[in-house]
Amino acid sequence: MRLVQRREPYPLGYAVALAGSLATTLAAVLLATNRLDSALAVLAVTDWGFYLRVFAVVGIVAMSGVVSYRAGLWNIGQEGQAVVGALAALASTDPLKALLAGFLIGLAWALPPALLRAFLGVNEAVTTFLLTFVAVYTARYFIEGPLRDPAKRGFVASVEAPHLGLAAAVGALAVVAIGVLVLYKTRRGLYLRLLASGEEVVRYAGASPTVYILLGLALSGALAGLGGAVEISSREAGRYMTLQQVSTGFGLYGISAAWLGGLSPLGALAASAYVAWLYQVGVNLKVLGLPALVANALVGSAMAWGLAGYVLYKYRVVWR
Amino acid sequence: MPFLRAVGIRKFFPGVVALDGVDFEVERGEVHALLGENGAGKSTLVSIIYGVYLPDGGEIYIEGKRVEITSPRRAAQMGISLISQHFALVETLTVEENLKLAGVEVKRALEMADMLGVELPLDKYVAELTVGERQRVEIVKALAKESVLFLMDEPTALLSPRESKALLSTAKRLAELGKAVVLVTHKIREAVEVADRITVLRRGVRVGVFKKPFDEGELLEAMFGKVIQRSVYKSAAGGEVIYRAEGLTGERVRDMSIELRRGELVAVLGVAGNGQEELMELLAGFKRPQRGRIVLDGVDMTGRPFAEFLRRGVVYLPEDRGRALARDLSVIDNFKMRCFKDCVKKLEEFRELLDIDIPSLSTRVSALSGGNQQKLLLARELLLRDPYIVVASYPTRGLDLETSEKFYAIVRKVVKGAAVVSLEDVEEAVEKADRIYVLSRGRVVASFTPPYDVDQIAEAMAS
Amino acid sequence: MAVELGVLFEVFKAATPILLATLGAAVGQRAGVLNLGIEGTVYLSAAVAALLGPPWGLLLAVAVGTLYNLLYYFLANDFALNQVLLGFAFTMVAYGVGSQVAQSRVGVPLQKPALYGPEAFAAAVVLAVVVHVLLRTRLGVAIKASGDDPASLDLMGIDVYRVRKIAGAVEGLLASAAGAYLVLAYYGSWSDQLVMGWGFLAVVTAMIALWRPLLAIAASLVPSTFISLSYTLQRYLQISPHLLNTTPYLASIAVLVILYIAARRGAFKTSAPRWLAKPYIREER
Repeated sequence: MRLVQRREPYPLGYAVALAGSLATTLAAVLLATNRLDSALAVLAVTDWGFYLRVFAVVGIVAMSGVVSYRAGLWNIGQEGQAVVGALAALASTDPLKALLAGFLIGLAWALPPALLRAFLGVNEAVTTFLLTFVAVYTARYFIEGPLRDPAKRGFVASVEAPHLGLAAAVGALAVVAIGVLVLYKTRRGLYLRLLASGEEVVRYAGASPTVYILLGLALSGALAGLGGAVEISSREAGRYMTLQQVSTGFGLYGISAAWLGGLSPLGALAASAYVAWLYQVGVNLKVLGLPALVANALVGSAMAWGLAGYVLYKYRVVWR
Repeated sequence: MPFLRAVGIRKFFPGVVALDGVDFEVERGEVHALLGENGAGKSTLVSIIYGVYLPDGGEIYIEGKRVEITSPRRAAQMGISLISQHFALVETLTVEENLKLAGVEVKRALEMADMLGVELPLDKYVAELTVGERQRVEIVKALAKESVLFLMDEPTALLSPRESKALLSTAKRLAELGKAVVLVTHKIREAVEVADRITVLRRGVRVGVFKKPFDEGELLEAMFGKVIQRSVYKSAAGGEVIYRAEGLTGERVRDMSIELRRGELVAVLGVAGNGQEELMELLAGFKRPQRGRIVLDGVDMTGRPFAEFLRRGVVYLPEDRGRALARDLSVIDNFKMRCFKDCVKKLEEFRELLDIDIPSLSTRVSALSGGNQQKLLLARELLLRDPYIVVASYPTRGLDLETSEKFYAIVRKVVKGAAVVSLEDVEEAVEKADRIYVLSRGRVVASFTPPYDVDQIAEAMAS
Repeated sequence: MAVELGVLFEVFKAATPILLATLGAAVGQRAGVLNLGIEGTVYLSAAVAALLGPPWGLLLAVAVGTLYNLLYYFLANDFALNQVLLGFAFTMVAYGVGSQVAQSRVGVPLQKPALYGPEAFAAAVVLAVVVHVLLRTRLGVAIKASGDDPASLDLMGIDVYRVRKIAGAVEGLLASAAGAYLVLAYYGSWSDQLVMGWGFLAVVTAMIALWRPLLAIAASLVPSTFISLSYTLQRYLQISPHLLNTTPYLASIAVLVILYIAARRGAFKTSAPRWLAKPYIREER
């Protein structure tokens, strides 16, 4: 079996990937429920408000992924960046400040890996991911400490984040998506994309690779942080964190959507709609008694299909 | 009966037909040269015989039996070995470890080395060996594995004239030992010197098979079809010095001084691995020198960012195109790296001028052939921009003769200041350059002005 | 005095799974594959081991983990799926499947395996030596070559994909042993959040150990020391246990950074596999 490069990129590769993911999901659901009618119930979207909220959050984090991976930078710490973004939202007084704080804190969280990569060449996949664990523990510290809500007796929880309306959440996604689209039309956006072909190409173009590495990772982290802030602020109820409920998994979902969408902003939006639906399916399965991490499995397999789609987009599989 | 016979071989790549129904055969005890200019399909044919590529059509027979060569492993099992510019040697391992990997017994390897009359440095890391030495290890390896067919792909490309002679006589020796040797080359002289038969390819088609005695004129016509005037350019002597590099020192380059006069085309010759690429990087301002100065139009540019060199009209054409072209991005995106207005229109214009084969503007650059990538690069850097100083590293490598000539024509016409070009072909340098510097071990060991004495130059390169 | 011995005991207990997983990661990375899915392999095998308990659970855990890891290698090499992200996906899928598999065992105390405590660490050290010897055989040299220069290896006629899959099987074997040990000997019972990044720590530790099995023995003591420290320090210092929990990760990053700086200064011959995380595709133009 060989992989042969395609003359022209093959967008249908992603269609195949989507089909594959759908099939896997359906198979998994049927396996879990054993009955057709309960399977269909699991697959249906019951609460559109909830769905749109998830779509907005996944979409924003997906943009974080697009910005990073299109630049050849491997930020996989979105989960942690979202957590600290949410923390920032908790500490804010009004929703707009919450979003701004989330953006900035996410940026700050991605800055150490960015600096280490830009100046020392340290692999950013490893550093960003390890910092996710650090983020979770840091969050727990804040939940139990400075951000603890004394009013909640009986269990340990943080203060609440200011409420962000659904329209505003979707609006935030729109702003981010448009921002990324516009970015890629500019010269800076071109240089950022050139980075994926190597630092030397960026230098050849007359720009500084260091600047663009920092820009790419910082922006990616900022968007993930924004996503975390949007997530916690747009919840209808329970806009707080507990010791057990720190990480939401949206970091992963965003990354999956980015790949399933072919790393293009519009594709990522479409894929986010799909991944949000997968999340809904996961929630429905949880109601049936399956562990919460099952949604992770569904989305993880969706990402794997997204990666396969990328390969099919570039290559043809030849069996010989 | 020939050892290997290939019939009607076809191979397509995205955007190009590499081979269109080519027949080829080679017998034991003969050196059969595969001759053709760059892009003719020679390397592709050899890659197919070695199982690196799978043919899209045609059959291969070994000793009369039909075979499918599906991978290099299968090829090795059938007694075929490849000596190419990409060595099958892992740099981070020693020669002995590489032999072990290849399944070759050290004792046997030493015997073979003896028979061939070469040395085998077992304990050295491959990274420490010169190109010629690595080649010899490859040949010994192949002998030790009882190879019958030796495919040699442009073996003299990276060798000095003296080492080239040694390589060619090794090829002859292999044939004397009863092996079948295929020598891929674009140099007629080489083929004529050592081959028993010559097959000429042109644009993926077999033009003819020639036996001794060879007629160089016949071969030339077969290779090129029409007669291309290889023009010899010489400019009006002695303009002012517009560019000066003094005492440049880098990792491999030592204390190099070069000056360029207005209207000149200067060639830097030297065997590969002597620091040419680093020299070009330093001259273009792409890399900072550890010591030394660069003065352009009286302005000290040493250590300034590359962007400033670009602003002053310096064009750098690197050896590794991956530095200048973003392989994963589209043609138009790459063009926009230097283009600000009317990009689509200009690209179309240049496409016609240089006859660049581009399926569409959104095709990824990695899908273009090497030659077309180079043409795109030339279009963007020479035609689009306003070049003042051109620093080019092996700019005609991989280009067919016609495009090669176009390159020199464009440079002469468009470049306002001067050009410095590193070349591997002495003849090319002699024909095109106003001055020739010879590089060896990171230093300039000689410089020549016309009229040139090719032998003198070759000797300087070997020192 | 008793405190110190207690801490030492803890350190070795924690070091065993880390050393095992690190050895696996080192072999895989040497072959040029940056497998972040090793966390998933550890998780999945831990779940299987928790479900059935020793001795059968152990065997099945190793079998399942090795196969899972092999699947990753197949997809990441033969199909050239993006290594880093695929590993991430494999981890997520393993979290989902593993949590489901071991659901019935949450909080249930498990039977300890025959070997646990410092003896287990000794066994792991022996394994490290075995891996070290393995890497000097022809297969080991081929693995190193597939990580440094797969193109040449391929030209030599050795199937790069097969060599990498063997490396993947070895990695899977060691990682699943780590997972089984983690749940049976170290924690003693299963929980959803069990593995919590130990697999990823192994990925970093392999880099810190410069991909050398013998160095891995020492390197695995770095994260394990910090992990045990956070448990013991909690009793003596007023620092929040949560913040103490971040130390193994921060320490690993710090050590990695120091190594990068040292490598830049040329402190040792760079032995990083040159093709780490780069896909090798045979017909690439």
